[in-house]
Order: sequence, then C-alpha cells, then structure tokens
Amino acid sequence: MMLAESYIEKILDYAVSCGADYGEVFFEDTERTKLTLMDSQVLRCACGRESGIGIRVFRGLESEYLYSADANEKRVFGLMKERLGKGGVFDKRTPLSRIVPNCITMRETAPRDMGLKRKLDYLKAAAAAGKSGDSRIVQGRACYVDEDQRVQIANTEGVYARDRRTRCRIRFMMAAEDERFGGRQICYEGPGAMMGPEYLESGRIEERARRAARSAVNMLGARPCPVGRMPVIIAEGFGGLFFHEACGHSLEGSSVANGCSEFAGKAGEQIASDKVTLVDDGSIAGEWGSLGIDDEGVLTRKNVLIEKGILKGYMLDRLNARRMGLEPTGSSRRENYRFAPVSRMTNTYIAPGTDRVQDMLDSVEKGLFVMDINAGSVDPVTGEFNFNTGETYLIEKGRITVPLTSATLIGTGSEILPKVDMVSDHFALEQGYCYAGSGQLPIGVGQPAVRITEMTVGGKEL
Amino acid sequence: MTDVWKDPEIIDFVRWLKVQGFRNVRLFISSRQSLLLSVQCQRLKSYEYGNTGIYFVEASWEGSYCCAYTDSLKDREDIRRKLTGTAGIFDGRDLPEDIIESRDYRGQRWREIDREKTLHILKCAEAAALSSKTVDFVEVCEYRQYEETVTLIDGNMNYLTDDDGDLSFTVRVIAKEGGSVAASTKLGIVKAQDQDAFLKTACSLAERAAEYAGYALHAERIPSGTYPIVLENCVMAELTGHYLPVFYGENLTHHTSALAGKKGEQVGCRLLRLIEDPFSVMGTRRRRIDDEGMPVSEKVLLEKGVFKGILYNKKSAAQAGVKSTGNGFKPDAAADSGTSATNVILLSEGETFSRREMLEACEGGIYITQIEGMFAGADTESGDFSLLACGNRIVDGRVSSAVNQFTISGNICGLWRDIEMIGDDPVYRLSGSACAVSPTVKVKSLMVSG
Repeated sequence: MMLAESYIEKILDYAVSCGADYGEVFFEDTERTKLTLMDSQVLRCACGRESGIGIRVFRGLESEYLYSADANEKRVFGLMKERLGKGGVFDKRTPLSRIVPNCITMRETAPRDMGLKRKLDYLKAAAAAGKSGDSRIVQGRACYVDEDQRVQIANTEGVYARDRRTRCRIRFMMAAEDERFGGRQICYEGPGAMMGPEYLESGRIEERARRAARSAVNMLGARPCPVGRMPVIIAEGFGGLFFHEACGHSLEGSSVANGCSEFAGKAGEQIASDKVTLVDDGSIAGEWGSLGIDDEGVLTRKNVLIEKGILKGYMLDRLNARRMGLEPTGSSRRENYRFAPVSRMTNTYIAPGTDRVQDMLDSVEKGLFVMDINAGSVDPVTGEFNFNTGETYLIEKGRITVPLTSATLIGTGSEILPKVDMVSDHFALEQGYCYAGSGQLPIGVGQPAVRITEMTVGGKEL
Repeated sequence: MTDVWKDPEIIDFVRWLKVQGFRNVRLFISSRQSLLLSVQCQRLKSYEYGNTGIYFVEASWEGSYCCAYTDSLKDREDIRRKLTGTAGIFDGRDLPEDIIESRDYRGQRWREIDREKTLHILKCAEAAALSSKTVDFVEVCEYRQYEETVTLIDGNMNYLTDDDGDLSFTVRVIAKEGGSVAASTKLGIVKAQDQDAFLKTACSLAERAAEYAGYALHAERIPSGTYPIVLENCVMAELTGHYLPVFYGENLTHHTSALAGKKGEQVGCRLLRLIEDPFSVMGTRRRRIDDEGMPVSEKVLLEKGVFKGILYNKKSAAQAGVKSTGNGFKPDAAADSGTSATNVILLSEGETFSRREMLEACEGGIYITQIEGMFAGADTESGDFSLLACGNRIVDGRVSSAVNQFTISGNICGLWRDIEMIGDDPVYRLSGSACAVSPTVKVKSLMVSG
C-alpha cells in the first residue's frame, strides 16, 4: 500500500512551512524472505513485510531526519510538529512532476508468487550438488534472501518517483576436511541479481555451489601465509572489492565533502597508475547493486571516478553535493527508511585492460595469487584499508605452487593505486554487501585480474 | 511504551489467529525509539529521531511450527499466508510454550533531552578536542539515545515484558602535522539528564581522543617479527565481543566454533576469567529476560582459563539435551531467534595491574591502540585472526613513537593462553546486541607483519 500523492504533498508543504529550504519524503513497503540452510536442515527462516516513512529537511547545511514505522497522517504530523517546529512560515515549493526510473529490474516472478517450499527445494538441490562432487566436503551451508521493495520518493524540488526493486541472492559456504591435513577449509560464493526468485531456476546456482566446494577442496593442506611485502595478483571478480575499499569509500561524498578523505580536493590529479579506470554504475540492468532511481530521487548513472589514473569525480548525495557546490550523482542510498540516505557505491568496477594473466604470473618471482577476497574495510581519512583473502596461492618463479591460509592485505589507497601496473582483459562482476553509514546495502564489485607491484601481507610465517 | 497486552487490536489479532486454526500462539513485539544529535564546525550537523515496531508471530499450524514478521496487524490474510507457508519447513522445532506468569521487568523510561542544552555540550566537547594544537578536524561529535521494549504474549494473553537502552557520546578527531594524518575515536555512556556530568564526560572523552590522535602522528612502519604486546582495553573488549560466538551452543553443535570439542579443556591462561553478568554496572545491557522469555543469569564461560560455560537458546539447548541459559536473543527484531549475551566481562583470577606496570614489563614490545578488519579477519570457526593494527612502540617501559600499517595475527585460544597480565581499567564495547567489557592485557607475543 503506497501513500497518496496528495498526502506526500501535504508533508512537503509542512516541511517548507517550518522554514526548511529542502524537504524530502521516502516511503517503502518491503517484503523479504530469508532462509539459512545447513546441509539439508533449515536453521533459520524469516518471512515478512514492513513499511515506514522517512522525512528529511535541510536548513542550509543542517539536516534533520524523522522516521516512523507508522505512516498514519495523525502520527506523522504529530511527529513533525513535535520535532521540526510548529510551521507557519509561508514559502512555496516546486510542484511535483513524475520521474520515470531506469528500467533495471529483470523480474519475471514476484518473490511472493513462488512458495517458500519451492525456493527451499531449489536451495537444497544446489547445496547438495555442491556437496556431491567430493567426499571431502563435510558441510554445505546456503543463505538465501529475496526482497521486493516498493518505494516512493518526493521532494520540494519537484521530484516524484515510484520504483520497485526486486532482488534475489544466495550465499554458499562449503567446508572441506581431509584428515591427512587437519583443519577445515571454507570457501564462499555469493551470486545475486536484480531479479525475482526465478533466478533460482537459472541452473547457474548449482554451478556456483560446486565452485565453492572446489575452492574449499583446493585449499586443503594450505600452508600459513608468509608475512612481508611482496607482489600480489588479484583475480577477476570479487577481487574488485579491493578497489571498493582502497579508493571507493574515499570517493564518497560523506568522506570528501568535509575535506577529510585522502582524495579530497584532488580532482584532475593523477592518483593511480594510468592502467586504472574506476567506474561506479548503478544503472546496469539486472545487477544486484543497481537501482532505477537513487534514494533521493535522482536517476542512477554511470559515474567515471578515475580515468586512466586521473581522478575525475566523486559520488555525491544531495547534502554533500550542496556542501561542495556540486550536483548529486545518483549515488544516494539507504538500507531502509530508518536511515537517512548518503552517497554509497552501487556496482563499482575497474575497466578491463590489455594484459594477460600468464604474463602477470611470469613476472612474479615470489608473491601471492588471490583468487577471492572475503571482506575488507577502510578508514577513508587515513586511507588505511585491510582485506582478508579467501582462496589464495603462493606464486614462486612465475608458477602457482601451494595454497595459503587466509592472508590479510593492507595498505593505503594513495600508496597502492599507483602500484597497479598490469590489468588483464578478462572481466567479471560479482555481488556482495557493503556495511557503512546508511546501513547494509547490496553492491556489485568487479575487475579484471590486476597486479600490484608490492603490498604488505599479514600472515603467520616469517 | 504502552501496555501492549491490553491493546484491543492485539487481543483481537490473537483471537483471530486461534479462530483460523493456529495453536501455540506467541507474539514477540519490539518497539524502539532512537535519537541522534551531532555537531560539526560548531553547528548542528544532523538531528535524527525515529520509532519502529515489529511483530514476530510464532504458532503451530497443523502441528508444525510456523513464523512470520510484520509491522502491522491489519493485513491479516498476508500474515496467514506467510505463517502457513513456513509450516513444516523446520525439522523438529519445538512449539512455542505458554507463559506461566505475566511479569513486567521494564525499568527504562524514555526521557526527552533538552536539544539546545545537548547541542551546547556537544559544541563544548568539539571545542575541547580542537584546543589540541594537532587536531585539524572533529569528524564525529554526537550523542545517541535509544530505548527498546520487548513484549512476549501467548495465546492466553499472558505476557512478559522487558526493556533496554542507553545514552552514549562518541567523538572522532583527526590530527594532522607535517603531512602526517591520524584519527582516534572515543566513546562512553553519559548521564544526559545531569548536564554537568554529561559536559564533563564529553569534554574528557574529546580531550582523550585528541591526545590519542596526537600520539598516533608520524607513525612509522615496523619490521615483521614476533613482539611482546600490550592490547589496550578497548582493543581487547572488541576482540572479546567478536569471539563471543565461540561459546554459542549452536556453533559448538555444528562444529563451527573454535571451541568445538574443548569443553573442560584449558584454553586460556590460569589468570583468565570470562563471565556473563547481566547485572554488572560495567556493562551497558540491562535485560532481565531474553527474547524467548527466559530469565538471564550470571554464568562463567572461562574459569582459570578452562572452558566451562556454553550459551544456549531454547533450540540449541533442546538439541544438546539441556535447558536454555537465557541467551536466546534475536539479531534483529524481524529475525528468527539466535544466540547472544548481555554483559560479557573479562576478569583476572588473581592480581590486576595498572597500564603502567604492564608497559614496564613489556620492554621492546608494541602497545596496540586500534585494530581494524575484525569482520573478515577474525574467524570464529577456526579462532584465527589477522588484523590491521596501529599503536606505539614500548621503549623503557613507556609509550614511545607511533607505528602503523602492520598486522597482528594469531588464534584466539593462543592469545588467551599467552595473556601474562590483566589490567584494572575495564571499558566496554558493543558487539551486536551484547556488551563486552575488558581491561588492558599484556600478551607474551603476537606475530607482526609490517
């Protein structure tokens, strides 16, 4: 059930009457299913629906945000009167006009139209397929989520938009054990899309469970990762999280607008090697991290952040764009109505280059080959980032030799970006979540394989 | 929050569920309000206020457990569809039990702050941080307040209700000098109704953050190797909170805990004691029942370094053939019940030491003041960790030059075993819904990669 447009206009009128120079309404109605499976047993399940309203006003650079699960008029106006003031200031706002979001959802089936038991059957089949290939796979876990979010966004600058975001994702965790080696190895795969639950029927899901299982088996007998500084090759796909952390967060408006980011004020400067072109694109059809329109009612688009090593632009929400005297970039996001929106990444990737992976390997005397990154984080002020790697191998004299237990890669964005000296031609985009100021958000990360000439590697062996 | 068990809409909803054929009905109702006030450059940066409510419905349908969540009881057909859709997918899940005796454990009462006075205090705290000559910017200077009430209601309208909440202040300052940049964050519980005490606490935390950021300037790299380590209280509290899942019954049963199969074994040094104490004033949690209606209680997790206690919710307890320990907490109101704790406190079984005494005993070591990367770099299944760290060298028993851009790595059991001294300066850090409390500890050694 969405809000009447006349009701939204009334809220915006009230915001203006309180002396706000910008007012915004966000309403959502979201259905979600979460399932967690261990082997064939359901560990957890949560199916439900929630809705709520968020109202934000700006007075210059000051922001006030109110939210409520109850969007009832009496409740909402009571909240505004109590928290924003009694109104009475006469001012006008721009009349609302409809904006049509980019068409990016590939939905064929609404999540509620596929029964839970059918979803569970697909999930069990995929997890079983992952386990069946090798007797050393001792445990298979699968986490499924689908979400059908209907939103309304309107503001005093005349924006009125409705959007429907349907997403689906599965995360497989396969554990392998072999008594000859001791220790359990766990590897992950997390495919997702801006699609309905028909994504489960695509047949690709089982292959991803098998891939997680193969990686876990490959990691059996892994040696402790050596410590020190060495060349690192990060394979295509989720390795793109490297750039998400190493420079993506530092290019978000919330880091840049206050001048604290290590890349603040450096637009037009060479901040990376000329092999690096970094893009954030929330308008890719069917992609997990996409949006038809951002959470402030700005159409999503392809934002080139770094082009051939030169910093071209930032990802900006309305407030931080206002702070910087620039325009918003369609990058404003929030987990749900409980959060005020801020600039966040969508699908962030490095454009393909021309180098060959074999040439990268040949160039390394001793270093790491990182097939997958589990997760990472960054402090945008100091630029210090860290990643924990998943499937990782030692490179010795140009050859991949032994698997290594998970290493930690650290550095700062400004130190590492110029050290990206090879970028391959084979590209892949993967799916995950980002946890930051406005909550947990679906993101895409991608890259071709890249070589970094030297990084600090944290491990357990001197 | 009002007495929801008297709400006619809820009474009617429970009655309707029974008419529809649902049995063993149980409602979990979470109601939360929260407030944020922050300043930057001596003016309001943001003000946020909101309230949310979620109903988590559990019942049996044709003898099978079922559940669903909603924020409104109006669309009953949708709730019915979701409940019947989940019936039968769980293997052997116990059905919700009736509440024997209604009880009201609520103690918190939301008190509205004076916005202007609170803004004034935040501005004073920001100014206190900026008075340090190396502080360039105060990135965060904010006051947060929240209160959550949870109520459980059964099919006979018997109820249990409890609440929790806190009032906290956080400051993060950026120091700059000669091209070097460093940041430091400090946080603490405040008494917002006592303006003088609030002002004193906020300014003190801001000054300490400024001092720590100053200490972290001009940090150098450190050669890789094995170093004696002093882990500052906030660092050890973060580690303690992150590794709580190693004590969860469900993880031990599924062999996804670093302590699986080690009950009764010596997993830490003899000095080490780890307890859950819901009543401790050192922690911030104030719950008297868990989200499944079981009473919380004090329990020993590690005694003289021996693994003694396991934290169970109803489901994991049933699987292990024991009773719930009152640790059935939801990761969020709309989620199925999981496991968590109230206040978990690391203590010494013997003597405690001042930070100075620990530094003096740690010649040639590193004093770790900050760690990053816990989410991915600290694994509760294996116990292994490899984390980005920064801090200071320890020279002549004192904190000396800053060091950064290195990792510390090891295993949580190895770290517990290598604890040599436990401090007298406990602080808290939140970890999900739990609160972990730890003093500074001295550790024999950790692997450092620089």
